[in-house]
Amino acid sequence: MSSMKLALHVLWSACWTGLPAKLGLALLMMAMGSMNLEHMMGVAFLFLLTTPVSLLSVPALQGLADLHLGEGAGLGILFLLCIPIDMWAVGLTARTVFIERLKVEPQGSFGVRLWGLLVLAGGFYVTILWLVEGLVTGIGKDLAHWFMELELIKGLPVAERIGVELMIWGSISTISLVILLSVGLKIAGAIIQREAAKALPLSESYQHLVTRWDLMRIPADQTLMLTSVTAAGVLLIFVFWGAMPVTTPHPHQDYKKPEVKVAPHVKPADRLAKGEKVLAQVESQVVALEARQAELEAEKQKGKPKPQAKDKASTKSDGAKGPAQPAAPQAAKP
Amino acid sequence: MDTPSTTTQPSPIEKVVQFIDERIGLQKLQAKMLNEPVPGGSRWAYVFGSVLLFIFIMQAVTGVLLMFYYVPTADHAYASTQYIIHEVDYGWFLLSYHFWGSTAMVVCVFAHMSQVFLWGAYKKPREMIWLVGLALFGLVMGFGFTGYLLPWDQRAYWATTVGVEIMDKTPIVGDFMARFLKGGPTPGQMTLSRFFVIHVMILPALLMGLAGLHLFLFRKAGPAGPFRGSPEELKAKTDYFFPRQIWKDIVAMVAVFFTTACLAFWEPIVLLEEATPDPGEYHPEPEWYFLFLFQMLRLKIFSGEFGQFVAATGLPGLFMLFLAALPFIDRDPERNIFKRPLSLIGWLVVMGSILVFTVSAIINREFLE
Repeated sequence: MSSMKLALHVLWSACWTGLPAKLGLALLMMAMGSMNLEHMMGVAFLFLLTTPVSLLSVPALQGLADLHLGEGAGLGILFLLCIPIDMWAVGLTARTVFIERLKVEPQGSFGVRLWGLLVLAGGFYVTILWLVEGLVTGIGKDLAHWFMELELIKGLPVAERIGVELMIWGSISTISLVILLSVGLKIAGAIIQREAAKALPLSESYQHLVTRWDLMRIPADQTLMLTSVTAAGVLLIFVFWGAMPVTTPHPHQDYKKPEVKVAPHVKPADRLAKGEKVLAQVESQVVALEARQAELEAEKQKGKPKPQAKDKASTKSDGAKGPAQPAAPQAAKP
Repeated sequence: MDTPSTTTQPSPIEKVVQFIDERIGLQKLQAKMLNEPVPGGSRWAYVFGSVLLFIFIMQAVTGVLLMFYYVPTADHAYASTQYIIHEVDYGWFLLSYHFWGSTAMVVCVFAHMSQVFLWGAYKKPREMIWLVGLALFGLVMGFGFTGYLLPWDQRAYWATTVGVEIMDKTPIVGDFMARFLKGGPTPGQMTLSRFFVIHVMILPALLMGLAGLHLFLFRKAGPAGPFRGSPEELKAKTDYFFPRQIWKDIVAMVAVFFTTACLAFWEPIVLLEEATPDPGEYHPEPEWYFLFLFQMLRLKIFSGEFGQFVAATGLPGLFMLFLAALPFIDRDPERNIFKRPLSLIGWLVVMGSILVFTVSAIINREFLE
């Protein structure tokens, strides 16, 4: 088996083996309010949390690349708790891969030794990978920006422009990441292969191997194990619900609670009386306005010359046709 | 003098189990469920189906708890959601978990469909499972779309407006569907009522029915197993569902629960201003899993009435039709994805395009602001 494939088998499985326990601890820290993650850096934190080889690179990156994961004592505690989990996960998965794929039996405290070597190598390499990847992505973005400024494609609409720019720097970034990860896996694979060379050969049937895997995962005293795991689980559930804040833990700045304005107490009888009073007032105003309008009309009629016979006839015929039309605006003119 | 009997008396719990077993055949059922053979042994790649069922149950539990306080009226939806966040004990956590749970469901649906596609598990005799799975995918998207309106803030209102407008472009049925969902010229009380009923009654009922059918068909056809290895090798490695696959499923469920809860703590749900027909400074956009479609509509090639129809409903509709027809088009029994280069390239192109368009839509926000 190639060194890259071997490293992938061990590290990929080790990541997923340790992750649920680490996530559970992270959740507990968050519920207790001892850990607050930065917005985008939280993603990086969780990414680092999943790899058993990145433990030493975190303090290195915090110093070198001004990496700020968040606040709280929980972060430090979590990193310390990740050490035994990773030791167990690397040991278990590597032992399984050795027995199943390489047909060899590792000796002694092999898991702790392998974890120590991987952490040392990862401490250097993941730091370098992070810095180089950041640099390459930055160059890729500059290159994409320069390309988009060319006269030939300057008039490209915004949506297309974003897509093309993303494709350019995204491809450069992805290719460099794949290359760097492959080199990293080769280094890790070489370390694991060196450990495999020290192991003793194994000759067992598939059924025996399955039994051995099961025995590796199941403790001798199953009842004691199940009882202690259940008790720990119940205790953690109580701690979680007890520690979890009743209201939202870290309010957002846009998360303002709307001010409640108390509406005045409504008395229906008073409202109705008030309404009736307003209606009566309005009615009297309308009557007054109509009277004033009638007076004005009468004054206008007085001021007009007497209509001729022809006009009278036409007025009569108009009146016979329908109701009286309102006075034309022209007629209202002084 | 009588000698004491050596046979032990059954405990009260054993008696209850025996009582039920005699009537419904509990032990037979248990054996049938747990002793399902898994060709090639248990794998982490097979956990997505069980995880999806777990997420749905969690969504149902948190959804029911939220319904105790939520009022589905245009006047009170926003205020009751604020009340859940600010006043109800742990209400913020339940709502945030429900929100992130929907995201987890979409991610797991994509992962599950990708696994089935890459493993070639849609091929004969599993065509029916694939078709029902596609319908379930549509339902999950429907859950996301209808649930998004319920908080009745600006984001909810405008995401729905955009979504319904996209739906309106579907020929023949689009106009009817848009009018039916809106219940008026602009989203209002009728829209909220209809979305609420669809979200809490129609979709869950359909999902339960189809998920049951999906499981039944899966058990009938049996698991496909790995795409590599001779039949003899697979037979030698064949294992039962219990205990290894169940253990893997449980670990995956726990991991999903922890991740969703961490996200709820990390980014609790934030409401914008109450919904109004004036977007103000808010730039309407749908939820992240529809962002790729939204960004596609911004491309110049898809401008104009016809272009918008092609991008909004034509291409997605054709893609879904293609997926439905896939088991009947691809009749080659070869399941190894590395021996199906066209399928592998196709999957990479689709996933890459969705990723590029989604990230582009996020970058596009800077230009709007």
